[in-house]
Amino acid sequence: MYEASDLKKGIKIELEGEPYIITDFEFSKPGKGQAIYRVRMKNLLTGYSIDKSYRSNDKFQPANVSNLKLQYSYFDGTNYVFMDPETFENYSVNAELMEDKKDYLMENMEVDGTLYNEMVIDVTLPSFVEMKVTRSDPGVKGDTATNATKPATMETGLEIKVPLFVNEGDVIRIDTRTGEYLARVSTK
Amino acid sequence: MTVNFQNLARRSEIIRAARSFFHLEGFLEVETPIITPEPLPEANIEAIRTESGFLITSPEVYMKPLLAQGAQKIFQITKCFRKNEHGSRHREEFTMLEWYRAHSDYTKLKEDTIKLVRFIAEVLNTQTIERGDKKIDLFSNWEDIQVNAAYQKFAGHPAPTDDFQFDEEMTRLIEPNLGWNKPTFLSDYPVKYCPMSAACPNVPNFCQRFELYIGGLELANGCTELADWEKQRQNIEQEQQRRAQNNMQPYPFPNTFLEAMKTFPPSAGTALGIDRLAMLFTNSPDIQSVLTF
Repeated sequence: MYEASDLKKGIKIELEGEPYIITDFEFSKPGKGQAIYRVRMKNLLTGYSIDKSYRSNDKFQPANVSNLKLQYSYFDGTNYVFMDPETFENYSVNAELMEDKKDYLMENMEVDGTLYNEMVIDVTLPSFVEMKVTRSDPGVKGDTATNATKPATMETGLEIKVPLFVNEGDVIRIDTRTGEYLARVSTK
Repeated sequence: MTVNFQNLARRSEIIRAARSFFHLEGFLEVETPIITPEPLPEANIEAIRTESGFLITSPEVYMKPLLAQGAQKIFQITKCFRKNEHGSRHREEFTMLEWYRAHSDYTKLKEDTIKLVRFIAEVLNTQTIERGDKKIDLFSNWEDIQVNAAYQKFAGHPAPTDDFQFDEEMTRLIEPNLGWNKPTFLSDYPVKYCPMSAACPNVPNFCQRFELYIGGLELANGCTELADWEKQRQNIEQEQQRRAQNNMQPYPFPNTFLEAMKTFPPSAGTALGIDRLAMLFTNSPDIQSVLTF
């Protein structure tokens, strides 16, 4: 149990059955008035932020949120299935949550999972992944403009822009946060 | 945490200027005890307990008895202590400038406050206070808005009667909007929020208390002191009851203070936060920037 005066940035609390992380916290006390704890917090399920004011003796339940390493296993048609490599326990993550991330997933890839009441509510990809290019038209010869790029499709179906010298079969490194090509790791 | 010596230099100038100001105005500088066996009970302020007594939350408990013994104009710069107050504008231990005038009222104190802040600005060779990217002119006429009018203006209704709503809206809707064009006095509080202040003539539900805001920051609190001895005793008892309702530990009853106050003249006093003033004159959003440790 927390009291309002224990709250600070980063603490996770449960409010009306949903987990929140505190992103901003301010102690105020007007003149001779009572202490007011103003809190901005983000709903860990929806991502929306809310602002609330509390008194010093208001109490809060810590949210049952933890982090764990997970390994991606497979897509079962509805959910993405991850495994805890230590306990071999499987966790199903609904497709909506993986919408922007699914094209980076490769079998056995290690990700950071956020667990709330035994449910995975967020998955953080490794910042960098290495993938094989499965389709990309050859660069046009003589096109020497700097930073010239062409479209390429990866083994997972991910489509990104790559430099003209990258060929089908090459393995490249990609930044998962920006979706940008970083380097060629090996060539076939 | 590194010390900002530029800010410390300015803080030092501010304190030196404040001292000069009061000496030039004919005030007597006093030093009163930091430890007291009988703090004055307040519903929202908790004193720090020591083995030998309580650390003062304000020098009021000793400065008012000095007026009762005949002091006319006194001031003090001292450390004060308020338990569990910690934030970007608060520290448990902070520096207070407090001054009192016998046979005077809060209108005179507002004049003192204006003159003091302008005097310090002149010593610092500035006309303005900068707060973020805003400039607040200290030398044009200051604003003065009544508490009720401020709620009407910024919250859309008169001052609420519920304590939590009063304080919550004060910190969220009112304070952040005060004192951005020029310094602003917020005046005439509902009586229940100023147990030691005198009522406004003709408006008995409000009392002669003001707070000063500059750039949304509360800087000073002053009032015409309640001189009626019986009312003081009643209000002290009432504050003790409010503390009990808030589950705060009781203090010994301030018999020594009340006994001394039997000869208290009609007076007025102001408390001004030196750390806050240093924040304003150094454009610091956080109090730590004007502290040594």
